[in-house]
Amino acid sequence: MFPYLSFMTFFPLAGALLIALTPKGKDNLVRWIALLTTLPLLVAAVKIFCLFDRSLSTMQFVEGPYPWISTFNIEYFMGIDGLSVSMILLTALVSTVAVLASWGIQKSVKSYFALLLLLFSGMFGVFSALDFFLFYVFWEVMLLPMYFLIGIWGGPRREYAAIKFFLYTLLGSVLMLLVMLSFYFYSEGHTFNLLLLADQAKQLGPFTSTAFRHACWLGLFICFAIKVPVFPFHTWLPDAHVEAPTAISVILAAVLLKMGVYGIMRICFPLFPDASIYFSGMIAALGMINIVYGALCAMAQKDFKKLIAYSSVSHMGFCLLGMSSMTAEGFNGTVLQMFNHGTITAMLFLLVGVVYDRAHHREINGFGGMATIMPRYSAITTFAFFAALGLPGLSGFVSEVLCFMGGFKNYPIYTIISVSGVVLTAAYMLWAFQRVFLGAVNEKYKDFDDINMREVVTLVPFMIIVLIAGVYPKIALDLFNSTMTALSHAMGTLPVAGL
Amino acid sequence: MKQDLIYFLPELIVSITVLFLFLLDCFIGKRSRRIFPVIAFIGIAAMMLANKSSSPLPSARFFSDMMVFDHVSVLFKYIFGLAGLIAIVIANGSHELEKVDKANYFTLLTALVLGMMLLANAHHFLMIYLSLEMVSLLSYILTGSLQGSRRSSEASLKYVIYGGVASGIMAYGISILYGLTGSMTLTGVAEFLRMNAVSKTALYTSVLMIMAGFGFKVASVPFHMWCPDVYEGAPTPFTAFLSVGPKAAGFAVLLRFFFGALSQTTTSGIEPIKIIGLPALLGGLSIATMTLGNLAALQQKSMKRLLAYSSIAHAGYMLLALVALNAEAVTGVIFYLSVYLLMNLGAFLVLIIVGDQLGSEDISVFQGLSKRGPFAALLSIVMTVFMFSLTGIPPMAGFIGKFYLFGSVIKSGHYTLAVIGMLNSVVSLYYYIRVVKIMYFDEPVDGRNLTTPMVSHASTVFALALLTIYLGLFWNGLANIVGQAKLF
Amino acid sequence: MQLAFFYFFSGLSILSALFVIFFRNTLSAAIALVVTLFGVACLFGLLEAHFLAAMQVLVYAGAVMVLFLFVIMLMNLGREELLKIKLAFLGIIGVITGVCLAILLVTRFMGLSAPLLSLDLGVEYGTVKSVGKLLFGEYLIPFELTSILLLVAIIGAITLARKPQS
Repeated sequence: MFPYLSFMTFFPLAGALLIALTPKGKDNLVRWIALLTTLPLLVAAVKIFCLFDRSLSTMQFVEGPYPWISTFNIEYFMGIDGLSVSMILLTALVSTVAVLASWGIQKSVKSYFALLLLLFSGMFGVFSALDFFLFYVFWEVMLLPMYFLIGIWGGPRREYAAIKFFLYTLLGSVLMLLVMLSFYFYSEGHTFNLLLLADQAKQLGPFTSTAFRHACWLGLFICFAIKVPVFPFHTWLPDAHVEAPTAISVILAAVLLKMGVYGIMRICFPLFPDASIYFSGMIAALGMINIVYGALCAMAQKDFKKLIAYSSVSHMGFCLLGMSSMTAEGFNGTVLQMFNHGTITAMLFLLVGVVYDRAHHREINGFGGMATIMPRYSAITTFAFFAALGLPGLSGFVSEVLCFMGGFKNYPIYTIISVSGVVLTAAYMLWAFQRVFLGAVNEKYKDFDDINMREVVTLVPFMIIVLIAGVYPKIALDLFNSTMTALSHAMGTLPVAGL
Repeated sequence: MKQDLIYFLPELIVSITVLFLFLLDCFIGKRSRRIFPVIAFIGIAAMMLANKSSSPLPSARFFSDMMVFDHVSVLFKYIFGLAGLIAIVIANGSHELEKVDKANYFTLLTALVLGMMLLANAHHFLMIYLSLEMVSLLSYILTGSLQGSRRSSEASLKYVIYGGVASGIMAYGISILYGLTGSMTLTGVAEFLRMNAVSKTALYTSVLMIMAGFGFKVASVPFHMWCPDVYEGAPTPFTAFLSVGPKAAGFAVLLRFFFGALSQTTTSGIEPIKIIGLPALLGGLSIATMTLGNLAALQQKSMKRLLAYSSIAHAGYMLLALVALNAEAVTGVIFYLSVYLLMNLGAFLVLIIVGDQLGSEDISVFQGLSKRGPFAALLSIVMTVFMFSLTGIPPMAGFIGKFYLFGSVIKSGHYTLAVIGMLNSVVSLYYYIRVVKIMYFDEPVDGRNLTTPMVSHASTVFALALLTIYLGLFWNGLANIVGQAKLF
Repeated sequence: MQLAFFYFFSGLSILSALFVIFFRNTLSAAIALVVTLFGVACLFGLLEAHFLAAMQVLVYAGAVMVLFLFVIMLMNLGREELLKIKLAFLGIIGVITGVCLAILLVTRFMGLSAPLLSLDLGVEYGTVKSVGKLLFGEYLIPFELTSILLLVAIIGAITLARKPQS
């Protein structure tokens, strides 16, 4: 079979090398190479979407395990199940859109696109790696291009944002490294194979002690929580989002944040079901804090991009609430919420980028009456805002309901408090909409062009997906339902109903 | 040739090279000085070839147990040889060393390699002491080799004073240990300690005192004070060598001391002797060393001082593996030293290339380096590789080194130490990435472009960078070589 | 008895070693060093290592220190300073040496010349022959290493001392 996953992981790398070799000054050539590198990824993603067997909960498109470093029993092992396939599809889509959204970059175009493609390699790698070591390498490899992309092409405080992002993530990943090493030394047969490690009987030595398991779980959780980001590790996110160029914000929100949740569900849960259940109350509580706190922060923001950044914090809280239930519907809600948040927030960042490119500022209060100046633009924005605040009929609604349903079973009080987040979301979204699009027309901006063709092209795919997933969510849920059901069976049920 | 002689052949070859170079100096005129680095290079390369032929032999002890030839000493000889070869390439053509007498510089450098080799082989405390002195003495001289430079002489003097005190304390410690056990060989000491009870206080005191000498060589707290000043004052090509060669030699002897004299082989593997709390001692030293190195490095303005403190921090990481005192620790330290050699020499070589052309060794000289022409752009990428590798980020070799080190710590069950060590490497990111930041995010202060340096420098720096990445992805080969490391 | 001697000579060495550090005058420091080395030699003597004791006196207290003193003298010391040292310090040295001599004579005449250590060391112990055998037998490699060490030390010293090339 055609190695789809390896192709998607390493094809962007080849593109990056090709770009590195193009002569200086051929900026348009570079842009086209980047686009032509991402299009096959999209095609591959569509193929995977068609070929993916929805009835199976096991790994598909498996490659390997091939020995890579035999002395440490490290293998090249790729494969996807329902959880990863949704992320792979999202990543392929976002990558293409990100290239299109970066068309206007003027500063060292060559390096920009080379780094961007390198970043894509890391993203696909993370979502398809089934060897812990391989996963870790991809996880870290992603940091390097991200650091430069924020640091060189970002806004005024880009250096601060870039280093903060890097330090936070590295702090998390060193903890993951330690847990990973423990698994190698204290597993039967000394392996990094995530599927084998999920067998509790293979975890020996200190892994038989509850305290050690809990410590390891927390280490991994902190690593992933920083990426999600979970309160109180979220402070890097608003900085990184605000300073990053539009396309990078899109990737950051749509793909990188998902890696945190993905990591928890791929590694924390199957490897430590007992510890996950033990800490599920904490996850739910953190989810609640994320939802409410993120929404309240978003309400206080004056910067458009910061508002969306905090709305991300709030929306990722739903994922946490959903997964804390350990039930199939909760898990389904989590994955669907990840996917939906990826598409909706990508749209929001693209939309902010559109107005920022024209006005060169993002003050929510600095606009006004944009609806009359840019009617098409405000129509699309309305759509995106309603999707974000969970209007029934659009995708956000379905996943939020699923998360609440999952969470309510075990943690009713946390869930009830979290529901207030929906109201808050509606409040800040509508309030922001009112300030930007309604009211008196700001004279300074009355000559603005409406949204152009390239910008619409980047937005339309997301709109279609949001609509389809809202009206007929089965198409998305089918992808991962069997995997999530199997995972919830593996986790067992929560013993005691918590708060 | 006699079988035994093959063991000793590498040492013989280097000794002959050194003596030949000494003699040559008397007969050759000022004009043909260029031949000295060539001969030194050939001599060390020949040593490495000879080393290869002795590597499959079983371990053996010679000269009434004075020296031990085992797989670890073979590996260390490769490390020293490689460090020596690169140091010769770096020194040859450096602007800073233009005024220095080439004949003596390269002869003494080769002699230094010999001293390190003997140190790695030493099995008797007398040999340890003598070869340690030889390494120290030559380091003092080469540090001060920039005549007329105040900084260089001052550094040399500081080095001599610290070194003298450290080796004096060590000699005293050795005498106490001899008094306690009646043996001067490492395995003899271990034998005695296994069979007999000794005074705990006396043993602890002697170990602490001996650690003064070894700690001085590897620049571990509290014997690190010489390091930043000496690194700054010494000519940069020699600093580069100092940061990898003698440090590696120090670790060679540390490994021998702790695994030879202070541990015993049990059914479950190697274990530290129980009478004194070695893990606590080494763990404390290592944490103090890496934390101090990392925190101090944060505030440096001079690149050489930054690399000095970073080398202190790296010594701390490697000491952490010694806490484990298991077979993985030996492999881990040797693996780490090999990749540290590549990335640290690489970082120094970039500094030398940039410093020679722009005339400064401050970190600020890297400002906007990526915008100083095509060669500078390439060099910035190379430097970025070295910096990330030193931080320990995949896919660079430095990460694999850390992977080995922390693996051995985890295996031995010192989880807290592992966490502290890892957090330290997060701190180190901040100062390494500062270099990357100013290379890429800042603008150059003037319009000068970097020209391509001599071929040997350029090709070496690129080769080092490629190796750093290659070993980060495909380290099976190196792992197989290092994995066989067996002490004694 | 030997304990008393041991404490006396080691105390002497340590005290004079401290003098080496604390004397401001280089010449006084050098002479204090002679006393230190002499004390060490006496300790060797106490351990029945007579050959080593003699070598210690000859090589260190004798040859090396003479070189030291030469160097110091060449550094142009003022005449008054030299005089001061004579009065203040050489007297003490004289007294110490005298006491040592007196002890030696007294022990000789009192018939106390039996070995101070009660160990049975054999006839060969501490003789030139046995030391030589050790040095060129068991300790051959350290001996050879020392020769290389001294060689590079000399070359290094020359390197540092030589005038910079123009």
